[in-house]
Amino acid sequence: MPTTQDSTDATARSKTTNQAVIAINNVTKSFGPQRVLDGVTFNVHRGETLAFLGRSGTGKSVLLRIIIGLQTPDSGSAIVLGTDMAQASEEDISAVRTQMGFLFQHAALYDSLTVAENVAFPLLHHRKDLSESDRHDRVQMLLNEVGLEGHGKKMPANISGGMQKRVGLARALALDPVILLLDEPTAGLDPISSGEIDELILGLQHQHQMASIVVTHDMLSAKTIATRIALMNHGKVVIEGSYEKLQGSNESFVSQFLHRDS
Amino acid sequence: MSTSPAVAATVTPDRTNPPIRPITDMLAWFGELGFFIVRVVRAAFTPPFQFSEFIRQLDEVGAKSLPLVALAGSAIGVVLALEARYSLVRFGAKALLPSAIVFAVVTEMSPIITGLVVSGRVGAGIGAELAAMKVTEQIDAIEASAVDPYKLLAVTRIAACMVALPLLTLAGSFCGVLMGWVSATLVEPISLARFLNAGFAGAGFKDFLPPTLKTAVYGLIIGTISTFQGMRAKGGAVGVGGAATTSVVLSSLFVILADVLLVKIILLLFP
Amino acid sequence: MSRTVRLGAFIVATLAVLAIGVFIIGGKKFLFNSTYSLKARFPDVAGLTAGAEVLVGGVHSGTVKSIELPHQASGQVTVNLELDKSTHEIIKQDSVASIQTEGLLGNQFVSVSFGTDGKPEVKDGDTLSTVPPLQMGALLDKANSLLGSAQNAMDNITSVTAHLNSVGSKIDSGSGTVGALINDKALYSNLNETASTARSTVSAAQAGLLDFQDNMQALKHNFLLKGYFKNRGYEDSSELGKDAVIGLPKATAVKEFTLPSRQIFDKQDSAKLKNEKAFNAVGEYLATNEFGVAIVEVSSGPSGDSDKELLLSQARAMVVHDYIVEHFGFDDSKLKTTALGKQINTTADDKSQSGWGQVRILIYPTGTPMPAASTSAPSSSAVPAASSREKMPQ
Repeated sequence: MPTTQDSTDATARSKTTNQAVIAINNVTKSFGPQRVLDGVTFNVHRGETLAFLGRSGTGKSVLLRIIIGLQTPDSGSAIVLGTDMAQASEEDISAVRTQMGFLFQHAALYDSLTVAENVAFPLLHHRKDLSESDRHDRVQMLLNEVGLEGHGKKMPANISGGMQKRVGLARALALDPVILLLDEPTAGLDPISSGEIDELILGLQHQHQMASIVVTHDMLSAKTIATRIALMNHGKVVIEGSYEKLQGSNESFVSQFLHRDS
Repeated sequence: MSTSPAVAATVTPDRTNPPIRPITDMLAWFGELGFFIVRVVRAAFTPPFQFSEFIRQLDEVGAKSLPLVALAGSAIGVVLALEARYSLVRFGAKALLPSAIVFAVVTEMSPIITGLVVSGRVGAGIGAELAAMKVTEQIDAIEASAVDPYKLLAVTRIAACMVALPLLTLAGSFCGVLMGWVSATLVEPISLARFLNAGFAGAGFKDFLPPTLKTAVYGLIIGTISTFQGMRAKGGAVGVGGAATTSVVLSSLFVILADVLLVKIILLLFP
Repeated sequence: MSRTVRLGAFIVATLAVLAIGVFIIGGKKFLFNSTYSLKARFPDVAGLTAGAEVLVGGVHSGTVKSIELPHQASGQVTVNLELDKSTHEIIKQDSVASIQTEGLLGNQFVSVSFGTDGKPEVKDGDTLSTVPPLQMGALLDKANSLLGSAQNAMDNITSVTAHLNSVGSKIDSGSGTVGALINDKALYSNLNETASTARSTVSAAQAGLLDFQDNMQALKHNFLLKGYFKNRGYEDSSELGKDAVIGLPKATAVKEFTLPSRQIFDKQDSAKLKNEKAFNAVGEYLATNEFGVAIVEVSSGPSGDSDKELLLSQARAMVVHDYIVEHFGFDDSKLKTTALGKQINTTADDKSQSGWGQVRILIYPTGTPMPAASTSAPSSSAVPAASSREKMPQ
């Protein structure tokens, strides 16, 4: 059920609850013979940004999809805002989803709608209380937030990859979600654009104090935006902690990851 | 969502979408179709109803197909007028020409031609559009936004097809009869009033309404199959092309098979 | 054009087509006019179907609503008609419904005739009188047999024609007499001469014959020869057939007089009357009663020469006829004669004693048509001659 939330209350919210917004416990998932998630357990609270890194093709994206309920784990639980996404009914899952924003790897914008219409999509379906002008205003505000004011009438096909991601972000934030899931936000972007996206995400997190999970292979990006980093290998979380903690690790796998660009 | 045209022209037919291969694939296809239909039915009869999207699709499927259907219907009318005249004159039954044209157009030619034309245009359009959405994760995005993609995408399109087809058939019949008259009158002048009078002499509602309404079944077939093929597409551009092609082929095939059944049923119900 | 406008136009336009279709068809079915119902019963509806047209005075004015079979084998099929209210004034109680076919092989329809002014109107639900429909099958059978006869006739004509043809060709080629006649000029000129010769001969003969007849008349009165004529009973052979008819009328005689010839005539081979008084009863009856025609029928016995007996019968009939006519008063022209001649099969009738034959006078009622006059003249007179009847002196 969509709650009427104002973005300015975000900071207030972060103080009122300390419960784990996302609680993943011993989740396993296999695709045929391949086990992509093998007993993954972690928590995320509001105001935290947890970055998942690992080799491409591992279950990182699958993890995000499990959290939003697009896929179900073979075993274990994924409790989001008190609802176990693996077991809950359609209704309950829908209710939780309205509190989540998901930025897909390629933005997944609706290519038959304009930028503004894309951002307005969640509002149309879940904020029916808003009048047309209110909705319009909110869309403008969101576009401003992601730095796309004035681009509302463009079609997704006609804007750059970076701009598409921004639109995706604006759409993800439309309902003022508690949770933000980001699937490879800097994938395919040049270093400067990547930096811009990172900055944006940081700023938004600051403002909204959401519980964020970022799946990425970009170490630098992770370093910039995440409060904690988890490294995955063979379906297991190898190490989890701050960047400094990772730096202190002796495992070769970790060193390889950390030192790619140095 | 307005129609985005299907992808590459050189599409290798269905590596990703059965059924041209063995029997098990075909059975699996029917099985998945069954599940799909169950989900669609459930989505259709529970709120919220995506009415504005339905209207959008109705415009897309109906109003935008109108020129094509009108053209096809007109062509049919002209061809029938010319061919029938030749045959009837040989039997000395030239006076039956208006009747022959009207009956042929309204009871069979307009429904089946409209069905096949729409099968092509709309089947390919929906199949490709939804397949493209699937491979770019747009359908996942819809679902992640707590919106039921079956309600938003499938039900609206299927319902729009079911409503649009009879309306399009009416337009096709109209054009067929009108152009049939034009064609007939150019060979041997006959007033429109007399043409219509003779053409509809002995016509009953059972010759007019059931054939027109049976196209709603065609719409159901076209909408269901193309939506199904689109929403389960995999594999990028190839997948999109394959979805579009198989949508057209299967829709056309099932429309023709359904026509055979429906004609029989109509004859049974309205002797 | 904005999307909503386009969609709206599409829906409105197509629904308009639907409406047009409904109106055209409904109009033909008189859905939109007020109607009333009538029934018509037929032993057989010859393939009429529900929905067929009803024509009044040739104008499409209604439809066949339904057709019901009867519940018993002796019943009739009921056809329920739905007619436009406007026909109420012209369909009356005496209108007749019939089932007709469009063209020769077209659809069946019901035709209702006008009633007559002044007759009472029909009410909703009334039953019309009907005529059963023409069965195409019966018509075809008739046509078939007609064709068969025609075919026979044609065959006959063909063979006759063939014959004529062969004759004609034969004639053309000069074979046979006719051929020769037609083709041979010599024969023609011969015939011509012969004909003119014959003519002159004939006129000569005529002249000669006249002379001869005069002589004969004179002879008849010559006392030497008188006896002969007297004995035979009549003078003039040429008069024998003047009142003859070919046979008896078909009607039944109201009165019959039968007299054996033996009682009447003098000799077995003569026509001379002996006992005239025997005819009194006959004569008086004829004089006093109304009758249509009376025949004197004379027959001979079983023996003798057929020709001679016939001649004798004719003579006798004439003699009897003349006597009765002269002695009794009635319309002469109503009494006729007929001669039967030799009668081989003798009935066991004792009146025709010793085989002389008999005389019957049959009298027919008024109004009986006169039998045709006999054209077979007695063999002795070939050339028509004007001769006067002469009375035999008694």
